[in-house]
Amino acid sequence: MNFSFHGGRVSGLLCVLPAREQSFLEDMKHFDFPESRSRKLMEVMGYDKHRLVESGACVSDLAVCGLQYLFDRGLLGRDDFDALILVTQSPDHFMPPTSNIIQGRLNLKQDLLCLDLNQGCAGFVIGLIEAFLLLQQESVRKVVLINADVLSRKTSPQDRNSYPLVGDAAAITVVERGQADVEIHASVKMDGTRNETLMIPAGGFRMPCTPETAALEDVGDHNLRAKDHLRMDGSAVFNFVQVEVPPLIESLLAEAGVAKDSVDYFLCHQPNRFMLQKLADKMKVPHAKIPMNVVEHFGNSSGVTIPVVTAFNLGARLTQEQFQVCFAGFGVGLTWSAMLMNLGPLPFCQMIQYPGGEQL
Amino acid sequence: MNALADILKSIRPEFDFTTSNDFLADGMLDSFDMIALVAALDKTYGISIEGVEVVPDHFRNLSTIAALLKKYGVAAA
Amino acid sequence: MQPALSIREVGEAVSRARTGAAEYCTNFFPSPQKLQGWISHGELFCDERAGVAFFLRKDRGFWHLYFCAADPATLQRALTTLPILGTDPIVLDLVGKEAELARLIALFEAAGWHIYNRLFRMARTVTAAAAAAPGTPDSRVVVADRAEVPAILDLLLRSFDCRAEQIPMLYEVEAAAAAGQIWVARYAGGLAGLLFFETQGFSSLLRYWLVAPELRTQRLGSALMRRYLAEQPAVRRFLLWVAASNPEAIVKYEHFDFAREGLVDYVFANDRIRP
Repeated sequence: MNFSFHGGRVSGLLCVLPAREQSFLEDMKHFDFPESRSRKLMEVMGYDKHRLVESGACVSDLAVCGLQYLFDRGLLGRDDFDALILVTQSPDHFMPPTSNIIQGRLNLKQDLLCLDLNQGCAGFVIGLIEAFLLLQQESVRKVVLINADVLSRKTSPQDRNSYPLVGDAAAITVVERGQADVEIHASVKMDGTRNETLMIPAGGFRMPCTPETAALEDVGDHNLRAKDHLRMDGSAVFNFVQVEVPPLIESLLAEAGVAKDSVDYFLCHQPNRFMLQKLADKMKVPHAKIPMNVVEHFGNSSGVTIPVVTAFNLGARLTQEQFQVCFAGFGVGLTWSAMLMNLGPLPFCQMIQYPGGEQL
Repeated sequence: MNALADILKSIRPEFDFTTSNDFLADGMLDSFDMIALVAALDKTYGISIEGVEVVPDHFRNLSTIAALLKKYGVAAA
Repeated sequence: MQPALSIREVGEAVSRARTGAAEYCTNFFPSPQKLQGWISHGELFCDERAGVAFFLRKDRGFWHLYFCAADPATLQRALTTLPILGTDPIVLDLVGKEAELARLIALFEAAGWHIYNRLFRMARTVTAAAAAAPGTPDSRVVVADRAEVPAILDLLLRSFDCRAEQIPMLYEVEAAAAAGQIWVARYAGGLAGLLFFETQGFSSLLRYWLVAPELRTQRLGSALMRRYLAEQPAVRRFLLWVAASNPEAIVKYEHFDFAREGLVDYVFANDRIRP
């Protein structure tokens, strides 16, 4: 499914990373796994350290920290934006929407459309599509898109498939009107028949939480996780990405009439380094154009990894330069998506810590 | 096949890969071992096995792995 | 003109200049760390006039001028009213691709500024296969000790033109040394050369690379560069700025596979600075 937008642009990006950093070597202590195999995993998958919230911290905490940082530095006016989109799969509550909680905590204006979107790994692209759609309304001059997740709280520390790579983070992307003749193209596909590939089985109404769903169990791969915890079929996800993502990007570039070589950077969701290396090889794109270093520094923070890979690798340069970038998000749903745009120069493109707001 | 068995042993030293016809069913390799194996094969033979080929069927036993390598011009010793 | 007292104040001034701007133009892109440093050390001043936010940063006997304007015409008008231009030596940097800078270059030349120098950006892209092998490290090259910071700054000031090359202040050199971002080459018990860099993600900016002129036959320069390139395995893109007035440096960088890649920094000076 293709989208095209005119007259919108990204005008700022801030990532908020928890201060707590845990290393893979510390994680290893909880696995029923020989050290030599753990080290091999570390080397191949690119695990090193990840950023995790302290217990009790929620998505609205990270988001409020980030927004307050921008308000305090005159980088965003609290009354300047007309929509607040929060993309998350780890809301503070089922009810009310967490975007309203953020609105309330910051005492933002009432003429503000607050919207929660349940999306994950593709959530940055999906969120941007929503933001650009909203900008087509005259009453919406500026949209704040927040991608945020604290999925470490839903991941078993004894699950070596998932725990070493999970990360928590939030990103605030400001989207506003731009030049009318500048086009942004996007493409999205979804396949709900494979929805169980990435899931948290218990906690909703299909399977409410009980003491039984909280019990750790070995599903046959020597990992211990509860039905309350995130589970993913690693091989299926890997294969899905290799098969589906390259043709989607190719078709997006063809639709936009843009040659692959003229894309400066492919800023992809960051599941792990091995998967991205294979993706780069399949797409015949030099590795220098696909940064793949987020999991080893920060972990995989679902929909936030695209903003993190952007700010971490290109932050300083994006404040002065413009690049033609292709964002690509893929994962839970299953969903796969890509967006092509000119990005930069941005008034801000930074990374800060939560709590505290120190620069990273 | 010996070189292949050696590479497999470097990943899971506790197993003898010459004795099994289905490494995955016999619990000798899991999905992460498959990835470690692909990385080791890429490095050893100077190839880049395509991501779409990283499926369980290609890694069931020494013969299936050898057949995969042959696609990349490698005659497994 | 008054001292900028907070990042918020700066952000709001920029925002006022930017809001509703049809052809926003600026040369003000400080990192948050740099901005905080300038403000904390009383180096940054703000002057908002005629729809433009001007910022002036104090350096060693001269100023750096930054502007944030709704469009070039607004900037041109506001420049004529800025008193400090007639009294103090000032430089300003315009960074971009040549074609994109043409209008602003013409504007400043018409306003009586002259091109003091130009710097070219060079880049070196690394493929995994071409990543530098570590080899045997040269023992003369080590990470700078904090005690060497005054000597490092002294060497920088003697070797570069601070008006064109933005030599950092002492506190910035201290922070860089503490972060392990400065390699030094020692010879006969003294500081012979240095390589100062900033790595972020998969990019690294080589800020300064120099060897004392009298020691240039000792191959310390290449020892510094090889060490730097070899010990950045996660970096895929190395960047640097080199003065157009230093063609020998350009050749040296090309020897290490750096190539010009289109971005230029025009350093303008007012008539208080001789060309």
